[in-house]
Amino acid sequence: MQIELNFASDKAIYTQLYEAIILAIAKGEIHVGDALPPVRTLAEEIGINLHTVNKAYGLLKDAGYVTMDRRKDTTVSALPVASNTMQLSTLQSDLELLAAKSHLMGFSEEDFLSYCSNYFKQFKGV
Amino acid sequence: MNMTLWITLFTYVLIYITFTYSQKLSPLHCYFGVYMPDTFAKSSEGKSIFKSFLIHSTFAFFVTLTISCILIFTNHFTSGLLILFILVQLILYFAFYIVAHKKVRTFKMTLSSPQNISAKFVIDTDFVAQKIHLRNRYFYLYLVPLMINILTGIYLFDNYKHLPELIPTHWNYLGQADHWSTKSIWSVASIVLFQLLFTVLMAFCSRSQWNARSKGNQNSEAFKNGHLKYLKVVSLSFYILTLFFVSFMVFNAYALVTGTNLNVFVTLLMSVFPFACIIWLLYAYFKYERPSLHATKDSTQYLPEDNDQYWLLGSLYHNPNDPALFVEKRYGLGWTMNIGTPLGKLIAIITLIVLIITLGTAIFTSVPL
Repeated sequence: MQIELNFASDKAIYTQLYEAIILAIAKGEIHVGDALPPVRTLAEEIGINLHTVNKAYGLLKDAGYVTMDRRKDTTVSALPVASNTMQLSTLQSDLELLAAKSHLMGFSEEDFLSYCSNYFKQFKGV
Repeated sequence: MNMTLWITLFTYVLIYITFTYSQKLSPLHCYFGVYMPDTFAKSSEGKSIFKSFLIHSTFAFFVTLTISCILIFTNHFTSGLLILFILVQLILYFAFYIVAHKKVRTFKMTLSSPQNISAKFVIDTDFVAQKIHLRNRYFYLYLVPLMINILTGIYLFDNYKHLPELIPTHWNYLGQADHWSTKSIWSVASIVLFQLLFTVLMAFCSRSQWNARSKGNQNSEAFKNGHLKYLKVVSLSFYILTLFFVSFMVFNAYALVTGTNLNVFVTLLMSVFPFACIIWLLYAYFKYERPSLHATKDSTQYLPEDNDQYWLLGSLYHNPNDPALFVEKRYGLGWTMNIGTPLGKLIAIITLIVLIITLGTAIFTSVPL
């Protein structure tokens, strides 16, 4: 998988990593059971603190996207990801905010759903 | 005397060429240790700074060479003086480099948009996994020199009792013993220790350069292929050099035990082979690495070492937030250590201590040449 990070962005690097890996899993660029690069390797390759990578991997683990096995490998979890009530509620409020922003920018309901549909098409088969 | 002249001349010329042409081997965007647009080298200001540096360095080269030749021809030249002159040259070349570095920095402050550092970084995790796999493969090969090491130790230990009280500990370029010491565990074990030290250092360096970052964009197949080819040549040359050195020490051990001379052909090969490796590495750099970096020079990655703030005089890299131990040098070819990391600090301190002790000893135990 290819991850693009932007060091000039306001978004923290650990958030960018977290979101990029979720997208990569959804698009099938990395598959269930595949291992993510080791924390130290990824941190050295990018040139960021180990804690930044640890934080991103930690968030992915808490959300259920990855699991850490006995050998300390981080692997992609089976899909669909097991989610709890709090995660679903967070997802819904994120969606509400996104819908609100789209509406205020002049998107119609059809436009919004069309965008969503296109993204789901990319994720099909995963 | 003639041999002294040739060795001195050869050494001085090698140092002079390496130092003055380091800028041509420096990474993209680096000019005398300062991050600059890659067009700066060809600009009138850039050319003028290089010309000035070259004139100063060449003058220093001819002055030290002339003084050395006078001392050689009047039979006053010693090994201590040779080392001293080499040190003086290195200090002078570095001083001229600092002058050039400061000129570039001053000029950079006059630029309206001084830095054009890319803010993006693309990582290809399959490429990273491939590097790790190859890194481990080359690392396990070092079990072979380690085995030779152990066998040499056993051979010396077995024969220790039969050794004479005065044992040869150094052989000249003709393979003849030219220095003896009284037999002791240390003087005999030093052969095995040198083998071990060399093996460990080379294995560590070989492993480290697979972990080192590169400026090339990981989106580009041209970059990835070229870079991997280059790293393979580096690993292979380090490994073959290790095997050579460890085997050479086996010949030393045999000469020590049997009291015979070293084979002249072997000593010649040992002198020549490291240079052959250097040529091979330079060839691989220009054939694989340089073109692979140029393939993506318009879309280079953001690297923390692109920030001037982490560099001392464009030579020492200090960035505690960067976990990498090795980063690419800004001036010349190769890698330098990140002295912001705990291991980097430790290695730097140990190196400095070893340097002071060995140089001090060499100068104070000077012999006429």
